[in-house]
Amino acid sequence: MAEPLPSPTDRERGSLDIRGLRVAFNRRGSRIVAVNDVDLGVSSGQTLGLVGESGSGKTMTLRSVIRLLPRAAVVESGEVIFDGVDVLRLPREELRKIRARSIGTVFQDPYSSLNPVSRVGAQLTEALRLNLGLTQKEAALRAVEALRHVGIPQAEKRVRSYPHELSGGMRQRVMFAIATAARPRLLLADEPTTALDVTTQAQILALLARLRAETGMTTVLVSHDFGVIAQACDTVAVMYAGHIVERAPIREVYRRPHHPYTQGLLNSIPSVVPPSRTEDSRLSTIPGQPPELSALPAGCPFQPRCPHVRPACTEVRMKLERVEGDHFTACPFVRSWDVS
Amino acid sequence: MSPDVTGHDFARARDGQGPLLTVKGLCKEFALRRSAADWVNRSKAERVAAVQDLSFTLNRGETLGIAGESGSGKTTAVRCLIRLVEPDAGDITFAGIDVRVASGRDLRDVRRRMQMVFQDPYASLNPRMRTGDAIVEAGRVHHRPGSENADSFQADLLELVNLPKSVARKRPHELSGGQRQRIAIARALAVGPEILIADEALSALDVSVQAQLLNLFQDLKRELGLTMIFVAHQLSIIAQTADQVAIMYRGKVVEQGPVADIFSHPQDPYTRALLAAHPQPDPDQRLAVQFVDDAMRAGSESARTDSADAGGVP
Repeated sequence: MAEPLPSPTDRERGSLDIRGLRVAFNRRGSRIVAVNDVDLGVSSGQTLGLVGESGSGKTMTLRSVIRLLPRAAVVESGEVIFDGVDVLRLPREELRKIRARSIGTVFQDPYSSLNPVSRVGAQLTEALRLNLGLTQKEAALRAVEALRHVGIPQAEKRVRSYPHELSGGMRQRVMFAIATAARPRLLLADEPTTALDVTTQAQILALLARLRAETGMTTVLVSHDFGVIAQACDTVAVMYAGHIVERAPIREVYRRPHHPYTQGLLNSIPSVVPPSRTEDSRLSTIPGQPPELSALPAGCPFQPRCPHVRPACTEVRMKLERVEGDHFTACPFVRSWDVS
Repeated sequence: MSPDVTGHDFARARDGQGPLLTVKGLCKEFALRRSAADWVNRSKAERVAAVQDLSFTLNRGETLGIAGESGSGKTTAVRCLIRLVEPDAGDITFAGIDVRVASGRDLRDVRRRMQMVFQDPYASLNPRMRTGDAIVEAGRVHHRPGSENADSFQADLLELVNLPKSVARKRPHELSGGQRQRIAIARALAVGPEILIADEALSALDVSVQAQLLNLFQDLKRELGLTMIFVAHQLSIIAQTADQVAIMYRGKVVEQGPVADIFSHPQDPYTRALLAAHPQPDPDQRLAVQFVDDAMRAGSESARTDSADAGGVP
């Protein structure tokens, strides 16, 4: 590819720092806070996972980074520092440049992200011409190369395919080709494998790992599936009802989850190993339902479902506190029960 | 719950000898849409075998898991069992009834005794009907004992799926996804089925809700002596629920047997790839992805490769 890679030693470039981000919706007169004082950082070349259930605010957090929020959403406060500048305060023209060259985005459903009446080659070429200022001819060559790079066989033929002629996995590869063709320093991937079969998912995760290794791009991966996060990420942030409840290196979270929600979430994951006949095959679960954002309890939003709930939970301010090293949790009472 | 709400037929059912459901050589083909070229050439539409030679026996109280990826034929297979899709060939014997030739009262009986729960409860529940009424209606259609008294009937069924009575007065849109799926289960149970078929019934749910419903299915199976068929692309769901499993790939069963054996010693390369591709929550078990990559490169015969898939596209 034509452009030189960003030097991996340059720590400033490609890092992302979200501080005090708060995103709210006004729905039928009431205000719903979807992202609540979120602090997140991912250093250059690292992969951060955002995991949580539906309505936890992970997608809104991710979309804030490129200001691709629904109309009804308002960023009430916070900063999103990428490459040393606050993306939230950039003028539109500057924002457009960053979206074009520095940040690539892949969404869950490649079919709705691609134009159904345009050949995939044309869509790639268009992106390359507009974003990198290449000529039509250069862009066309580069498009084939980009498709080949994401593991699409017979790329020179495939550029003439329409999205509906490709399988789901191939379409998602095309999305990765478009997202990474400009060699962005940051890749945002929102549930990129959720609509795919498990074997295709594994291939897309392998592709993601290869692209990361080759380009050194920083990645933020959103998923509801802790398994997917564990396969791909260095650090993980667990979200619940708009808050980050725990943040730590992936191994730390898996081995020693501190927040009761994280513990519940990990315990809820069914194993592929069948339980033995004598074993109690019931999974331990989190009681109750995920909360309505319009009717959150005071203090910690997890308290109605928490096994360790106590009166003081209504006073909790949901600030991440360091437990040890890089391990942070929003529960101030973690030391009062046996985490192991 | 009072036993007569759902338990009515079990006493009779338990008297039966042999397996509850026997399927032999089930086949179903679909014709693909004819292209313009096919019209011009007067050639017949291409056919695709959705289910090829599926056989299994299911004893009372057992759970069969049917696993496979999209397009593997698993949903078509279970739809054939109650003839929502007419099979092309094969034998289906349910509690002594030849399902293939059943009609009228017999077919209604088969469909009552084998109930399905689908992936999307929002699509399978009437949005304008209160959930309690939906449950009672199902019971009354099949003249279930107890269904004359709507209040107690719906209360018993809601209790069975661990929902508060107040839910009966709500409409589907007022409920969460997990609650809606519980209603779909309650409605299926309202007609007193012996086999409950869950077709990706847990796929659209959040992890914590999925775990609750997995437990609910286990409880129902034990309390009501239900026989179950779980259709899922998620192998972990099969692992947690099934006694025996059939792994389907493009209409064919590639491997079949006790779930413990197959999951611990998979023989077919496709089963192996499927198991290896399951993303483990343990970050130190990242081998899986590598395995699939290797399996692809080695071009193992039935390991589905994304590229082979696209290669088939003109």
